[in-house]
Amino acid sequence: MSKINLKQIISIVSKIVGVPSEQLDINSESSNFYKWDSLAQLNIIIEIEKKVGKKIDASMMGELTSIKLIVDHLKKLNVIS
Amino acid sequence: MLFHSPLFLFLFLPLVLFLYFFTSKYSRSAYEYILVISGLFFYAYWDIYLSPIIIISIIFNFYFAKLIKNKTDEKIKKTVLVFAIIFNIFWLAIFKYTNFITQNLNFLFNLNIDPINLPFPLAISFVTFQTIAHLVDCYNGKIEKNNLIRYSLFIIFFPQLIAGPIVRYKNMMSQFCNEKNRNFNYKNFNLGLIVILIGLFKKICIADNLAILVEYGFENYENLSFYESWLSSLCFTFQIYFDFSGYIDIATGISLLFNIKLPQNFNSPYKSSSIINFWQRWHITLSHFLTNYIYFPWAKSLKNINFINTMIITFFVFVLAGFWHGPSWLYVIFGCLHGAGLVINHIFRKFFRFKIFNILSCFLTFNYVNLTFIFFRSENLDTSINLIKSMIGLNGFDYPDYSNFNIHIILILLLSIIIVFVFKNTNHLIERFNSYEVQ
Repeated sequence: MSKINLKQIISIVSKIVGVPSEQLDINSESSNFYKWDSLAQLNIIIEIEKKVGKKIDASMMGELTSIKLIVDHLKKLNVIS
Repeated sequence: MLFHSPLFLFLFLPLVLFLYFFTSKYSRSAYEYILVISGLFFYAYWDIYLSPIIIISIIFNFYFAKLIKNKTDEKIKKTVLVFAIIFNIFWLAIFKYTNFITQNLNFLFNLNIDPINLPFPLAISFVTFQTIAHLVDCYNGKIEKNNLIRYSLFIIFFPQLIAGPIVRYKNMMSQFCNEKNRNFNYKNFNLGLIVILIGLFKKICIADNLAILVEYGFENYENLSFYESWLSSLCFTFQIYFDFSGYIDIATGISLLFNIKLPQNFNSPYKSSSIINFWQRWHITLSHFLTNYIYFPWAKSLKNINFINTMIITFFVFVLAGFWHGPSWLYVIFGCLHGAGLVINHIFRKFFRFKIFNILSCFLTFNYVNLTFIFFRSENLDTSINLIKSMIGLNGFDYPDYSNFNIHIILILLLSIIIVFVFKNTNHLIERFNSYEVQ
């Protein structure tokens, strides 16, 4: 199990949603980006899982709709650095 | 009891409101009983003999949820959850799909099974999804406390009982349990009344009038010209929006009178720039249910999650959503068309880098949605095919005979186009109103 930081999370979201990293911060939410849809959400979570080597429960996926919510959840899993 | 009936507006609703606020002054839990009893009365008023169906569903599901929460063994919990979900789907299927299944069995195997013609209990489709979401939330440990009266309130809260929005237990209970919400609030009350009036206007003045032309068009589908077929299909596309969103507005407004905020269900869906965007704006709570309780768990259960797999899942989730709307192959076609639209949309996003002008993508999306609603409204496949043939000019270009319907309906159609494409939606109004401080 490895850890992930905010910059890496932003980089993952940026790559999947197709938005430059500079336009993303901790407050970025899925509703603000038209390409951050359910498929993008699934891909973001899978990428993070690969990075930290830990599974995120399917029931949480619909709730992690902002970078802040993702960070908060990863803090609970103790995989944020 | 219909929301726009005088009995509901001038007797039932004021009486329940009075009891809700009055009894709350003297008792901390009376409001629960008031809302549950009023919900049961509201439901039974349609047909008292159907009430046991929803009562049985509530009792069984409450104990299923309790069992899921109390068990510590993961295997037993999962077994109970699976059994409870099957029970709910079976319960829905008995009342909603039995005739459809027998008709198809008769056709496929040349049988002669008589239709059972069971009554169709109101609200059962929405209740089933809401119940399943509650059971899954219990399984995932998202719901801690629960008792029968509160669970009943969650299911039977009358403003959203019949046609949604599909609400989640946690969101509703945090509001019901907030003692502040049991004090009369002028701001919410005024806002609630405004939203109810908007909903009534949408339903009575627009949707019900458009329905006259829709009925004419879909009944005379064999003789429609190019213009008439477009008028009929457009009228239905606007009718269904104003009918459903009007109903949701009324439900939202009524809930606000009780200081309860229902989740947003429509966000100007006809301004969508893609089918993906459409489902982020149309029947939002259904989309959330499909995404959170079917799409994500299904996708995550796969060993190999790739683009093709997720597209197959997306397609089948929407076929299911189409079938959920009613026991007809036309609803399945509606679901298939939306599933296919979503898949094409995702492929376009993934593999094509160029962007279409926003106005053009909105125009294309609207027309695709308009096409899918033809299947949603038609009585049979012949109607849909004939209407589409007329729309592409295969049945001639004669001007419509306006003597068949009043010209005021055309004006209402124009008004509805202006409202949909120019004005902001009710939710904007609610948010704006909430930002003002009441003096």
